[in-house]
Amino acid sequence: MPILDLKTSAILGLVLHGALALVMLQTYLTRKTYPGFRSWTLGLICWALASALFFFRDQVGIAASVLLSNILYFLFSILLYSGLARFYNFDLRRRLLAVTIGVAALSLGGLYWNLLAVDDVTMRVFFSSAGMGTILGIASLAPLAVPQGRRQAIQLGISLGLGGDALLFVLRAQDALLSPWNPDFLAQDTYLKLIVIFGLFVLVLTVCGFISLMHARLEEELLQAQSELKRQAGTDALTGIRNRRSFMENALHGVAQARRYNQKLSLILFDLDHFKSINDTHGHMTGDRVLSGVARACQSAVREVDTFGRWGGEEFAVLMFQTDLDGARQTGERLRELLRGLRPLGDMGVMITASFGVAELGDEGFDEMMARADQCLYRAKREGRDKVCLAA
Amino acid sequence: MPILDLKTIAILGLVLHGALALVMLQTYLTRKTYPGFRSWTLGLACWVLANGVLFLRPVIGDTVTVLLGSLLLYLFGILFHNGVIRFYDLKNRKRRLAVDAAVLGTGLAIVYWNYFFLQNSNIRVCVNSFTTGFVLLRAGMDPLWLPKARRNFVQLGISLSILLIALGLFLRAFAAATGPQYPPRVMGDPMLMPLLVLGLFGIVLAVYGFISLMHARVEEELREAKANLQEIANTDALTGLLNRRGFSEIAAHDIKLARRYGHRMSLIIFDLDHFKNINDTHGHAVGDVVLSAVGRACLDAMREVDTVARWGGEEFAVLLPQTALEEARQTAERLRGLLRGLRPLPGADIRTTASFGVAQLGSESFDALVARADACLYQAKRDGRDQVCVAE
Repeated sequence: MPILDLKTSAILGLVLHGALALVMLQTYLTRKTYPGFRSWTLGLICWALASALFFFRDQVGIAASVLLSNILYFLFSILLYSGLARFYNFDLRRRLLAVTIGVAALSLGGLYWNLLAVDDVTMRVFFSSAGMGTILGIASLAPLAVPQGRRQAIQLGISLGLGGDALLFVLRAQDALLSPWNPDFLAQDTYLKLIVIFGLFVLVLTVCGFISLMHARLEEELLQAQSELKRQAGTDALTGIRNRRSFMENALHGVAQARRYNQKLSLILFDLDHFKSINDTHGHMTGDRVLSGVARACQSAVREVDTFGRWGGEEFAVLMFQTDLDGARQTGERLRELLRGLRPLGDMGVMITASFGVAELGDEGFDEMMARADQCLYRAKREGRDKVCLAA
Repeated sequence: MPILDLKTIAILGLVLHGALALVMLQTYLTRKTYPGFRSWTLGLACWVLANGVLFLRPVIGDTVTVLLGSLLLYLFGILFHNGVIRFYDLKNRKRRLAVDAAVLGTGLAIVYWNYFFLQNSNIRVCVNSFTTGFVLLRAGMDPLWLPKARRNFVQLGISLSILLIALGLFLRAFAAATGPQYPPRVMGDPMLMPLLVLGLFGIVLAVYGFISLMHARVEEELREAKANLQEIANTDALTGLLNRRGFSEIAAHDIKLARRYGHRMSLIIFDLDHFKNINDTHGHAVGDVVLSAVGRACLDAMREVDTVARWGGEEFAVLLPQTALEEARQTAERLRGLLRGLRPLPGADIRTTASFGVAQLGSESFDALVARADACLYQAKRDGRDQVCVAE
């Protein structure tokens, strides 16, 4: 007696794959899945039905078994391919699908012609194995042409399994083609056993692989959502620059660093002049556009190492690392000139100016530095606006 | 010959479970998982090793097989139970595990003692099966006391799988206790076949269940993250009220309703008077406290159907569905009185007043409605502040 019993393997495979088809169906119905999963689920159901028909061919009759189970087997392989094609959405998707359908149609045509005209089981094995081998081969290789699929260990595993299956089918086709006419071919079919046993493992692992691919994509989406969440929490919704919270976080870190390495740190605080009147005259929408324009212009005007944020209403702040009071004053003047020349609503639109307060970090904390910059800002306002004032 | 071949089942089960153990390990190492998954992975590895040891009996000898095989089987049971406890964060983890350990320890002691002094196969089979079955029974039943887990199809599937294995083990223990003397090696054990079949399917389904539970939790986290994103996008960080964007969304919806059913609707916009002074005199931190307090007070004073939002800097908006102009004016007056009496900072004499603009929705757009209310607000400011002005 051989090590493994064919009938036992076939029964176990049938029950196992049937159970997994239900698992996939349940996953499809209740979980978030991505394109392709439905095809795989339907494919697996086809496979389980086909295996059942093949197994019970004595009960359902040879003709019905051959007709139906072969259609189902080919449906399985096409659905498997089309699931992968949908999941990776590759360029040649439709053309390859047409190829798989063509191969399946040719094989089934040969099979049916054989069944009705010649009734030679060896030829039938050749037609179905050659067709299955070709389609499974396409399904295993196509995802590897996509970089995303090639880089994924799970996809490599799936491709390896399907490729092995395809190889066994091709070998079986070759075996059938070369062997003489033999009505009992199935009884001596060595590759059938290998396919049943290898297929048992491959399908179990492939189902695992499919679920794992879903899992991976879900996780990717979660990571994206989480990083987006983090970004939005620190971003001012209107202008897209840092909000006060994010600015503060950065500033406290900067202050600690400046202390630790005994470096200079300066702060510029500025407030748009007569901004209320823009809102009043032109409406809030226009006011919003002005704020966005100012934020955009200043963001590209400050150095990349500097921290720029919206401090509140029409107030903005720039934190400048390794910069002393005079350096910050120069930047303040530059920004003042920039804003004077800015026409955020286009050439005919309003002109804006801003008043600036500048302070350098002394022995005090961030809040005190901010308070000093704020005082200077109001001094600039009192002294006629559109100017830069320095904290002593 | 029976339908199923024992050796085939054993080999297929061993290879299949081994492959699934690798799948779980890969999932554990590369995917986001949750507490419990590691225990399940290790448990499955122990199960595979225990079966492998049993299989290698002719090579490694009886002593190693019995001693190591029993130990690994027990580890499998306790690790599965531990995984369940951790995943559902069940109470009294240590006590639950201590009960398991006590039962398994006693069992192991009996098995070892039996092996060295009695050499009775029935006792070994009975004790091994009973104790492992006992721990698996607990692993299967524990989650079913939680309503959340009881309603979860996946968990029901896992519990069913584990309980079926436990049932197989109990039947085997019963058969060993009551049946005739077994030969020294247990391949003749009549209950081995049903147990192997149950084990083969049960473990495969349990592994899918475990992966599916992880999947479900990632999905839950994703839903939460997305809901948070939505909330952040629509919420003002300082006051916790809706921001302009969130307010506009709700207003668009309410306006549609009002138009559809011919209801009236009004809008109040108010702006704190001389708010800059508070910021200048007391600092931004105090200004923030005032804004928060005003937002809270306003929200508390409104009906549940009303929508309160921070419109910008120190400006707030209230949308009143099914409310005519006169009623809205009264509401605004009430708010005005409320704000006058508000002391946002206990101990500090900071008073707030506000100027109000009120308008009723006509046939115009939302933006036009806002513009009319806004114009009234500025009328109120010009007329001396701390008053309500109504748009005709």
